[in-house]
Amino acid sequence: LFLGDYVDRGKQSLEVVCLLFAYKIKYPENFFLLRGNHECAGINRIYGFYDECRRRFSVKMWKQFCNTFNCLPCTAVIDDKIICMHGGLSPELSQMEQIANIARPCDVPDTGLLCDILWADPDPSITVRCVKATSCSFLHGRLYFSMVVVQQGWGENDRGVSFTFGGDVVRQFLRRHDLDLVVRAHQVVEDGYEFFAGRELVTVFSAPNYCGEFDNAGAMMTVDDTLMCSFQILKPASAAQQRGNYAGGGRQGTAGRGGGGR
Amino acid sequence: MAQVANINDVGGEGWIDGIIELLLSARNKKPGTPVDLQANDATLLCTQAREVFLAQPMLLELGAPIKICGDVHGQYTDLLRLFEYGGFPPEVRLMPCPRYGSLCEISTFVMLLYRPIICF
Repeated sequence: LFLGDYVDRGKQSLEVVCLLFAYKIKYPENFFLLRGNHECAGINRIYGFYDECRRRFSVKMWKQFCNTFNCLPCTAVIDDKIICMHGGLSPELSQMEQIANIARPCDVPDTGLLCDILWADPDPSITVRCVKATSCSFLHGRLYFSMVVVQQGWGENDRGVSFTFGGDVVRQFLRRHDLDLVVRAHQVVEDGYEFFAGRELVTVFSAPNYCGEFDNAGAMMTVDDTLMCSFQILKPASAAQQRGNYAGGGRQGTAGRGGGGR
Repeated sequence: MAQVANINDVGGEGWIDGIIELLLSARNKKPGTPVDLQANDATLLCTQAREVFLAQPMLLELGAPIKICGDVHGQYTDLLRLFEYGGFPPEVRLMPCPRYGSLCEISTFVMLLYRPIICF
């Protein structure tokens, strides 16, 4: 299962999307693709895919790909317990049927449910959004505060699209729908995966050395048949490899495994 | 396109196998080497994939075991690395993994995620 953002930024969007489409055609019941915010004509017109299509084929070809992107599903639920999407949750999402009822083909709107599912982010500002002093104590002449950092509610998204959401939103959503975990992508994370909200949400990002500008690893999450989760990591290339000695990139060092749970 | 499949099978099983083989041939080349895809094949991939997506729901209901990947962003060499590491479809099988980190870590994860049940 891929969580979207196949195109843009990198140099071989066409190869990526063609291989993924080919596997989808070959194994329709065993291979799944969700839509990312870059599978949208308004975005990939600007960030690289349009130019690649025009250079190698034609503008007409770009339109054909966009027509197919408009038919991609946006959400998957694994064994009724793990929900997967590209961006995140939406304040408009109260019933899962709302997702199922989104009609296709469709463009990604500027606001609303589909926009949020493809664009929203968990709130990264763990710092001072809502810091509660839960207790204080006086010891050895000093005053100690214990602080609990709480991320709450919906916030403004720096991307200028959709919202951010706090850990409480994730928790309430999971309880309401009897789910255990949200799996999403959309943000580059150093280790290729990163937990949020007490491990009730995980970000998975699979493009190591994103754009050649980051030193991030890429990750792939494995969910076993008991819903135990683990991670396989593609290590980032070293600076020397990135400078041009990256010829073995397709085969070199992979290692590392994180642990996770249902 | 001479490299891909048989001309009488355009759009069929042999055709798609040929496309996959052509795309995977990049593994044996210098990273970044473009794959010589033909326009009519790309068009057919779009139309066939579109039909498959529309035949399946907007909200997919899937079963474990499953592998999940995030953003790829046109990094084809890295996508091939992911498949080499995790397995190419449909041969994806869970790899035996004795080293998840410490057992302690697993227990913590399981406890965290089962917390509601435990509390109940």
